[in-house]
Amino acid sequence: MGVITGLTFNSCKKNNLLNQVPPTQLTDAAYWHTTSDLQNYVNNMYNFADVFPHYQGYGQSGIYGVDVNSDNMVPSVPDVRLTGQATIPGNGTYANYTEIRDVNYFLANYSRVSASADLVAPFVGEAYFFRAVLYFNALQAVGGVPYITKVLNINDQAAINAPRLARNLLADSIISDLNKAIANLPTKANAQTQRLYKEYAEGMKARVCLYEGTWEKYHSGDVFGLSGQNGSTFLQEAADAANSVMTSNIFQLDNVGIPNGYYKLFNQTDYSSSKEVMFWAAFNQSEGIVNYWQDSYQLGSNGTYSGGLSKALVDDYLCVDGKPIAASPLYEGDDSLKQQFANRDPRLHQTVFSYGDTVISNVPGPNPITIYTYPGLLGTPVCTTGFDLKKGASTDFFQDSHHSVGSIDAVIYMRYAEILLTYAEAKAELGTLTQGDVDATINLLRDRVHMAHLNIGAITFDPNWQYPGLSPLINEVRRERRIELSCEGYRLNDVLRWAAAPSVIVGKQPLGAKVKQFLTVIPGLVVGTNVFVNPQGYIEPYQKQPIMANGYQFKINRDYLLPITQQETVVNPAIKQNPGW
Amino acid sequence: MFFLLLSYIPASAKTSPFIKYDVQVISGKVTDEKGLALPGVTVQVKGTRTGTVTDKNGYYSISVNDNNAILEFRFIGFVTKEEQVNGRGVVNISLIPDNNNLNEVVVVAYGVQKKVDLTGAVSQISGKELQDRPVANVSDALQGMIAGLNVTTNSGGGAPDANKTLNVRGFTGLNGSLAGPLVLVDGVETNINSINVNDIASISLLKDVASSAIYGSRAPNGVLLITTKEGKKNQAPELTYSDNFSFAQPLNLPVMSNSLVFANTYNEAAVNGGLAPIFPDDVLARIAAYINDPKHTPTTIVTPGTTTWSNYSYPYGNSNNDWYKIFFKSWVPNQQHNLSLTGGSDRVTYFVGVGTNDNVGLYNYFNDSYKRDNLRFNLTADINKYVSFSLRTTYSQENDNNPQTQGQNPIQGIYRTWPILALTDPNGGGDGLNFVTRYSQDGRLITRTDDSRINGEITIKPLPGWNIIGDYSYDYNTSNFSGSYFPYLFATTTSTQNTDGSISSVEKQNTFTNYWTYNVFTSYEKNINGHYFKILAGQQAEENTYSLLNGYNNFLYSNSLPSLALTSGPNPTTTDAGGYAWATARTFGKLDYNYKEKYLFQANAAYMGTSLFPQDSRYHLFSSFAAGWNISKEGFFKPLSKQIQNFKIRVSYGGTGDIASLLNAGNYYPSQSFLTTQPQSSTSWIFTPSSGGRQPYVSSPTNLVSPTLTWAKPSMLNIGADIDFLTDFNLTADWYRKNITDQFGGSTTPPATLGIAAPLVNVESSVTKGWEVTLGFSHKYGDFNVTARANISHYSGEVTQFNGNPAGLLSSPYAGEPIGAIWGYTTVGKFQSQQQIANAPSQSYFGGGGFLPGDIQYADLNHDGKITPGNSTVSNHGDLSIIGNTTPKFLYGFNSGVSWKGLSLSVFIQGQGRADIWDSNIFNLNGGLYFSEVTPKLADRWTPSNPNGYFPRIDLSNGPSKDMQIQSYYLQNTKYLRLKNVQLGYTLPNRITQKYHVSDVKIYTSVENLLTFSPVFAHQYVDPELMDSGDLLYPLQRTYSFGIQLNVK
Repeated sequence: MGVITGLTFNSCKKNNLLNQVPPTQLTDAAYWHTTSDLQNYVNNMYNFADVFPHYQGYGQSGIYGVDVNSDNMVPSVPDVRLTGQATIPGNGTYANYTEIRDVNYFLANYSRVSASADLVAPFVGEAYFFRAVLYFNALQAVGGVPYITKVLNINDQAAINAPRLARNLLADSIISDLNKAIANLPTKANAQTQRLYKEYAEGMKARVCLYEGTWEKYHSGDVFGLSGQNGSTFLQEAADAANSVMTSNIFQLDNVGIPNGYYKLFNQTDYSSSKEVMFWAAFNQSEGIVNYWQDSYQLGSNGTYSGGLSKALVDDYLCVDGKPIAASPLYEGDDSLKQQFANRDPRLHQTVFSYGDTVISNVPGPNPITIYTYPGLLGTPVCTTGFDLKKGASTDFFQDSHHSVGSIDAVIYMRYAEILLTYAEAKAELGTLTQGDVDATINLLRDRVHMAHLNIGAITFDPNWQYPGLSPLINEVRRERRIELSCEGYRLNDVLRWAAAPSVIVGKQPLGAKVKQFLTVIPGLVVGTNVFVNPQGYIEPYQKQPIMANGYQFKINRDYLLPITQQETVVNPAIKQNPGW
Repeated sequence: MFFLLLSYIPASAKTSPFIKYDVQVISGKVTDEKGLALPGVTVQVKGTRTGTVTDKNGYYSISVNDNNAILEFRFIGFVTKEEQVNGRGVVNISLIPDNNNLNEVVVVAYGVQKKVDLTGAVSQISGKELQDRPVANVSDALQGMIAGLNVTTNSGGGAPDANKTLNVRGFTGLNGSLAGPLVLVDGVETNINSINVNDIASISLLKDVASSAIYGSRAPNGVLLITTKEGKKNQAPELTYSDNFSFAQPLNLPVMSNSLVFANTYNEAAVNGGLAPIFPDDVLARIAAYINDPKHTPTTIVTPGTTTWSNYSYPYGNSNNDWYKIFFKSWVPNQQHNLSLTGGSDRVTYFVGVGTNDNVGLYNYFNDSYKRDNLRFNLTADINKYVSFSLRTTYSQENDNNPQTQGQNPIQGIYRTWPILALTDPNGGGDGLNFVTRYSQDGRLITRTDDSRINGEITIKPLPGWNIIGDYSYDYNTSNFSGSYFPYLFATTTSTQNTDGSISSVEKQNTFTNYWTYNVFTSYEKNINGHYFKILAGQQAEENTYSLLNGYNNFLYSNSLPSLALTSGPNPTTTDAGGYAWATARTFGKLDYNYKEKYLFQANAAYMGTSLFPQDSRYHLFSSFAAGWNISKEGFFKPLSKQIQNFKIRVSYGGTGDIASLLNAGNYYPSQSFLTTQPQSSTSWIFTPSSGGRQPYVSSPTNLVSPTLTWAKPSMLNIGADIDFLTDFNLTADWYRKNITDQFGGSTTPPATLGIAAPLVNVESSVTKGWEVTLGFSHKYGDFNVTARANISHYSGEVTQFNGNPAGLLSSPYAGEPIGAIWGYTTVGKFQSQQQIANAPSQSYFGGGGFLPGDIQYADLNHDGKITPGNSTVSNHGDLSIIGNTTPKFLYGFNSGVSWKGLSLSVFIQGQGRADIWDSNIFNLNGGLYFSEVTPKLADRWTPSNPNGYFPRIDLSNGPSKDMQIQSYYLQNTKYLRLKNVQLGYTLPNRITQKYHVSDVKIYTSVENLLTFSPVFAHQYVDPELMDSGDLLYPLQRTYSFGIQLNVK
């Protein structure tokens, strides 16, 4: 017996029975040999939903539904942040360090592949771009965060427990990564399709710089500001980066002068030949990569999106003569949608549905077209305001998942119009915007839709300017940005960086169209029962929400930044909570 | 093993004198107390290896060489008798049945032991107690049978292929996990549900760590030892046939309110929520019309301006469907057939069992079924008086056939389907958003699992008391899965053939599991002047290798034959990802000692290694000790011996190692790190839109690895007593404390900056305490035979160390947390007036548009004037407190039987004590517009005219956030008492049946799940067992069955 025991003990130690190797998985040692290893690794980053969201869930309508978090749109349930009801989450991160780690792991290891620099550079450029955007997301959400550039292990205590970086230094780091991306990435002409390229990275740099520049300028006097910073350096970088994109001469606006050309820009499935759309994601029905946006637009017979545009947004559109509705003789009033949309900036009617619009086409059977008759105030999903979102709506019957696998309308991540607007805004903020700059930017956008030019020498006074403390020019530049980019997901971040909540959010009660025009048209619509109105007769969707009794209660000493989660402030005491939380 | 070892239980050690006598042959007959012949009785010359067995007529003959030799007659179930020969040539013996269960022989690790000698906590039941019930598998049959064996329904509910979850003595980890025991069938790990209930001779449950420690890290959670039937020596072939036909009906099926009640309830909830009524008056009128005259009212109408039938949007359907009744059949037939053949000569015994079990599922329109066939062949042979050999082979095939539901739970589908939705449109066409339309046309999920096993064992007995045993088992398990997906057709006014536009596809997967194990061990036992010793040592190794091959493609040529060969999709995929292998090796030893069965002692040790851990930390020595004292054998106990026949106390303590939690979680390589690869089909980014081109990708290493990772270490202290008293009663009681240290967890909760989870290390701990009592009774009143057995058990657990929650969040475990604790608010009641709301502490934290009469008032436990969860941490939990616990207070079973002549009646009751469940589905309207249902129970809600209603005011927009916070008033107590089985049987007298060459013909009828009593039914319909595991589950069944069993001569 002792013999058996002795044998066993000895044999166990040597036993390769207990050295099992997984049959179908790669280890680090087996990787990093060829440039295809680099490409396969970077491919993963394109799946980062924080960088390139696909909006694939039900009930979404792509970038066109994002503005429900702002004063542009009125969702059926008021936004938690705008109502000041946000709370500190228990756990979870404040920056996507998991994906940042993925990038850092690449940057720490790509040089193990021996290949010529020109084969390796594009992938390195891509990695820097992704890291920049991941940190930019954090900057927008919570401000400065610890800047991690290494693959950390559990015993790297100093790095793990690093304090938050000041937000301007984080912005510098993001810009530094973008500069590396710009240096390494191929130009659009030389890049593979749907992979990152230099001019898009420049566009991203312009976006980041404008964000941080305006943030520092407009928050300089509040708890979110940085002493001694006025953002002018970033604003100049923003203008330079935008200018670099503009002078590359490879982009221009699409559909200029084409009837409904602005509307037609947004419901396309393929932007390969677009000169304006700088970066976008494709879907494909046979690959099963689809979204369900058109379910939201087409589900009810009236064509609607869950939500509705706010009266505040609709009223911000100028009349076609370039004057605000308060000043233009062309304005017909707002008793009906028809009057309200008459003689207005053509982009209004190309953003909001009105009578006679085609909602669904290609319907099999004898009635191939469904015409818009009235807003889905009682629809499912509901149009809260009477202003039904049209931007992004495809009329194709087979884009609705009830008649196909789903919709394949592409996601737009950046279009050239934003670059033009960034250039104009940065220059306006720097005080160097000239009429020539306006003609090369804002007036190009207006030409597309046959809208009167902005003449900086003859700006019509608007009693409803949202930022009466700022110059008429900045008011008009901001208006142009809001109109051109409405319902594309820019608005909340614009309001935050402009510190504009007191002007456009706090205490505001979102309204819709006048209800009277619908009462005889929409069966079953009864004021006080299923629709609520203010004394002036405008639909007031939140009238029965006590939380909205006094309008949005966004807290201006707190809600410009989201809180750090509770757990993160405990496990790393060096992480200080944001102001007001 | 059972029978082999049984033959070698030590006789008295009295040595025979070495005096030569003439050899003399003694013969005789062995009978029972009624004079009936007993075949198979072991007859042995005491103190020698000379022995024989009685033949089928009870006769034996044996040679002795000593006129004063003592013959020993042993037979299971009878008191062993010794008889001195005294020169006689014929010795006839009558054996008396043994009603004293302490002399029962119990299967334990690597052998058997008399119950009187047990020092651990071991329970045993015979296979007989599980048979003759219409249960699909062994786990179903075990529910309520053994104290400390917790058998619970899991998320499979009552589906035909569902198994129950087995657990021994409660929590196996701090996260409330209830992992199952190691199940060994004839010594080899087996899926308990693949075996045939009718092949089982006995089931023995090793509950304390001391009893199972010899299995090392493979048995941290108890061991269930199943011994299959074997033939008996010198037994004529006996062919037994049994069958069982049963009819099952859904048990505790929920009820939907009619469509008008549904619509009005939704409208009320919408209006209460500040929304427009969902269903305008014209729709309500149509709904009412349909209810009044379904024959002449269409089921739905055309959506104006379209060709589509309305369903979930205005103008809506107007049918009146209770979808539970539509989805489930009211009755389904099931059947079981079993045939077995046993017998033996004086050297060879055999058992052959064949069984088939056919379960039909309850689904209407889209059938489901489960079928299992079993074959078992056990053979033992004595090659000579030193060497015997046994061979066991089994084969089973399971066929599982389910509808394709695209990963959706059909029961959830029912729950959310509106009753106004038309089953078929007025022309008889299928509705496009109706799950019946969808599933009935969709593909199938079909799995065939084949399991073959061969096990050979050789036993060598060189000297009396010395055994050497070696066995080897090989198991080959394959499963063959075929899943098909079809688009479905629905009707519009113009066509019945509208496709939903999806693409047909087929997936095939074959899996292969190879498992081998061997045991080599030797034991020696000796009794010297009342000092009995047995030592055992051996080694074991095992390896489990799993591989698979999976193929998928879309665009089937024909839905009638879903085959990969018949697809035209351009991107078929194949993969073998997911294969793995793991192994363990172990050296073990065991020492038993007792003095005159009065003082008992046992020690175990296992030195164990596994492939899961790094080389330097993969070996560990586990040991355990146990002691017992048979007080009733002491002289001073004599005065009590009339009342108390046996009284033993036992104590055991031992430790073992746990990798089961890793294996159960599919973590086969916890000490390695990989770069995860993904094929192009799993990426969402299209790199070349013109061709739909995607590209594969690789992710960074999945995890950090600690070089010191090793076993989690459960240890258990067990204190127990066995008492036989007043002749007819026996009682076993145990108390235990299980401490699991070094559980796997993150070494710490790192700041987010690390970007990856902390490496798995051995840090967390939890404790479980519990007790079990089993009381048995058996008595004969003339021809009446009465037996009863009751068992009850309790456990509760606590987290003792947890590093992963530095902030003390209530959403995560924390040290000191009772396992299963439910944190919630304390309900004061419902507000009845605005005044009351104004005077109450502020509840504005819950938002949701302010409070109104009929909403819930929560208690301000911390008196800060407002209701909040604080930080939801242990140190600041605001008005939250522990309001309940999901752990059942106790589980129990009661089994009783009365027999009189051929008639027998048995009753089996099973249930559990209080267990709290938070189930938001009881509110019905918790999921908003599309994930709610309305049941008649919801009528008992607050309205101005019903201020004492049970449920709060309904509010479609804000109800969940305001009124459905986890709170004391709506916790459901899922205690239940179930009349599990009632059976009436009659055994025909053999004198009638013999002329037809059959005997022991028993016919019986039984009802399974006859009655259920539970407080949960006050406010909802779902069975308490299902509520415990998730509510929206496949219903259990009540089963009426009829069976017959007989022996063929």
